[in-house]
Amino acid sequence: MKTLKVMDASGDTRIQFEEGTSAEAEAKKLFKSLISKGSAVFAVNRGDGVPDKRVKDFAELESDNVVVPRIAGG
Amino acid sequence: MAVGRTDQLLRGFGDYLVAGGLVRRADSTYDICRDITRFRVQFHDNSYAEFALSNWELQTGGRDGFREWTRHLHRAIECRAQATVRLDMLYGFTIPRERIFHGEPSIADATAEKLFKETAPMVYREISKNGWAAIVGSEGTKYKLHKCVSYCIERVSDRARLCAVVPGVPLWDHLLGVKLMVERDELKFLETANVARA
Repeated sequence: MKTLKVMDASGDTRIQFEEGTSAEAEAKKLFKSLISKGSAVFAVNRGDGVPDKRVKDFAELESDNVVVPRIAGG
Repeated sequence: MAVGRTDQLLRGFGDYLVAGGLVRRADSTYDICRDITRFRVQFHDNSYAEFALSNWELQTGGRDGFREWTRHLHRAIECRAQATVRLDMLYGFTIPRERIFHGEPSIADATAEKLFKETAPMVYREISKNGWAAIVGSEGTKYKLHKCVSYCIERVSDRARLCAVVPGVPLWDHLLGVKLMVERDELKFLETANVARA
């Protein structure tokens, strides 16, 4: 089971999916759409003190992932 | 309902003007409502003031939209606060501030705080205790992450406050987004914030 926690105005929206299911295809579509809009995805809570990692490919997603909307500069 | 906050509003805004755009306030944070219809100033005791925004304040946009927004919104706050003070002087007593009240964090704020807590528990504890936490960028640069919306990240070497925001999310989400970007892709973050490497 993998989880995408997409930050939004409500705090975050969580999308969970199993590999090889139709939900995964939907999640992949969403992932591509978010990345194309400039969002950054990070694999977090990787256990045993392993640091977070920026994910740029859907296949690299781990069990817990946070999606940060495109950061705007000042 | 609380009264007597006008001085704080003016002082906060005065700091902004003097610093020429750099927001330095020890007693408050500024926030734009998610539906962009209100602007909020929150004080450390959790009381906050909200102001409705009119169309002219929302007409700025584009790449530098956030910076422009901030400038106009602060101007709106100043005008509102000054008008309130004048009314106080006219009537000879402090008018109760209807829009200033003690409020609980919204569900969205609580959800964002929970996400931060479960993603970075140690940093969360540090920020809750001190108002800021030490983090290290992916290039080894040391930063302070402050619990505020504007200029929340400070480079320790030259005390530069960097301006980059995660738009449209609660404060704790914004802080988590900035933290993750700095720690995992510092160069990209610096590019976004329009600053050179130290």
